[in-house]
Amino acid sequence: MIRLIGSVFVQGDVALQTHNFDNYRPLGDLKGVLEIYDQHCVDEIFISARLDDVDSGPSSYVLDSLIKTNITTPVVYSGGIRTIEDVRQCLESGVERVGLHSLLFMKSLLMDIIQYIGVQGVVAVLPFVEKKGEFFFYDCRTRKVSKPIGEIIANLPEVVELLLIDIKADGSETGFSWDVIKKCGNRKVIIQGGVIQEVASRKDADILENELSGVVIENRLLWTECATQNYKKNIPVFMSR
Amino acid sequence: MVVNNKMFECSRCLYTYEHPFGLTFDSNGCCSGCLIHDEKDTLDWDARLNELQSIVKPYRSKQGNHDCIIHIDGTAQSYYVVHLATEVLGLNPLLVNYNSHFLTDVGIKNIAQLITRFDKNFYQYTSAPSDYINLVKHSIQKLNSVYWPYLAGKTSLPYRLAAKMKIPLVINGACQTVEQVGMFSHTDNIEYSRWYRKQHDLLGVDESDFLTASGSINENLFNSLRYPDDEDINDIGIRGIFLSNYIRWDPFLHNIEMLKYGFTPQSNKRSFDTFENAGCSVYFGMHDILRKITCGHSKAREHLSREIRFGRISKENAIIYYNHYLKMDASNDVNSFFDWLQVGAEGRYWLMEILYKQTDMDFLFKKNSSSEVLMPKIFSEFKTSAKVPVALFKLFGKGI
Repeated sequence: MIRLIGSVFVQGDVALQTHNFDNYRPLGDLKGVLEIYDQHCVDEIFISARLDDVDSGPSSYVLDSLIKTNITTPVVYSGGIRTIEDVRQCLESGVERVGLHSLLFMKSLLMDIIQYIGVQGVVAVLPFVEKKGEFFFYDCRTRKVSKPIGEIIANLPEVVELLLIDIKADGSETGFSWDVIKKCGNRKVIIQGGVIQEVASRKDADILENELSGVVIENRLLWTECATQNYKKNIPVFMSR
Repeated sequence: MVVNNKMFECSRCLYTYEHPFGLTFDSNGCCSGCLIHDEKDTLDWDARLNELQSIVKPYRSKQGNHDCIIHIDGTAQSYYVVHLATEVLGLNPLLVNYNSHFLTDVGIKNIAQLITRFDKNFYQYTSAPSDYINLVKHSIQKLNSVYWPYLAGKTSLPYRLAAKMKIPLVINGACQTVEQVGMFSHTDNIEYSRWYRKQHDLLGVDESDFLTASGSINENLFNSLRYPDDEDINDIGIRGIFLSNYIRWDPFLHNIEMLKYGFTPQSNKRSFDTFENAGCSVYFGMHDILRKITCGHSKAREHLSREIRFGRISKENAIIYYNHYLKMDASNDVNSFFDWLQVGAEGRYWLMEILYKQTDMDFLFKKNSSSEVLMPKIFSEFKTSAKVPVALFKLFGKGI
């Protein structure tokens, strides 16, 4: 079965919706978003924070909000993690797993973090852009594309779960570049960005389940009443909770 | 662009970063509300209306039963929503109202006129006045709001009745988070939800939180504010749609159109708009004053920002009008409210000083000289149609 993951983006002390990773719209208070995801039984929550000062550590707004909520849904947090101390701070605030992006290129620190939290506690966050049939890593800090995504994946420890985010389709219902999954071999893969319509319409549930461990739905879980329950009810590949 | 200063103001309208719904800004300093507003001039609204027609089609009753529920409060927008539902969409709504206890004689007449003119069934829920006053007192102390009890009631009653009467469609007018701050695109087709209600209508506090915080509301009162369980919502398939996602929403033009149904505007001193929330005794009084103290802006700022976006007033003039409305005499509204709340003179000063750190008591409680309400030219022609209420707080009655 595939996990249905709710996502939320944070900048400063406001939760936001993203479109194409560039166009932001306000959502209000993070605590409210986390509580409704939890109440509606998403399988995991992915919080991604954009920080003014990337060296200041994880977002204190996110960690404070987590401490104030009583949610039981596992949380993946990504943004501003630079040290093992940052990871410890996240875990103490209720984060289950950390998402790493820029740190994926600092192999020794990456291995230290894996050593500290366990390999299952790390998610490699890999935004990508498709260009002429090739897939390139998108660096959120510089806002530029860099290496081919396959090259980066090949250098990661095998058991680290990958989160592939299609930048161009982010915030949409459709448009994910499915061919990127071929670059991942037999790794556990979560996908985000224009995925839900195709996941809902795919007839080959068994193949889908082999390819994916999770699907992130951005924004639209909040657009209609009980959207999570309805996705879970109507799309058989999602696990029931 | 990243904004850290709460007072940062949009380059086009009067909204600042501290808007309680939240705002984002593009690289030109233009807010998300203005950017989404631009969709009003680019979307194919005929196609959007067709989409709306196809959404409501399965709900349309063939046997003359109620096929949807609409909460009305006697405002011009209520008239417009009922007009759209009946005349444009061909629906047979059950009209419902959670009694705010804040209706003036104008408000009560407007509700009566609406029901009579559209000839629809009407259900009204009224709490015992003493219970409601108690609720409002707690709401002021805990949430800085005189309006939370009404908002909790009006956003739960239609959905509770939808569950009870198995009428799955609830129709709302404007989606304020789209209209004010551009939280969603019109084409996102955002619908009403538990999350939306708590986060945006109820200031992040739902009835369970309120019960925990105040500890003083009885079970009946709690139930009158209760939003239905997910199980009920899913079993019946209840959905609350916003018409403003499918119709080019222009409140000023729509509200004027409602005069043809006998709607009566009500004069107020803190905005030029005599149509919006006409018939409410606190909306431009105590509620607006608390909004200014706690959220940093009063309702006139929303009205003026709306009109800037529609190109009916310049930003320069809007600033002049806004500063004028902020200084208007509020003594009658504030004193009447505290009389209704059964709070004496000392209590009034104590509450405003201690709770809100408000020191300008002359402005709040004593009449000042500024009494002539300035109005932008386009709106002043409707000034004479606005009625001054005879009774600000009227006990439940037909009021005709």
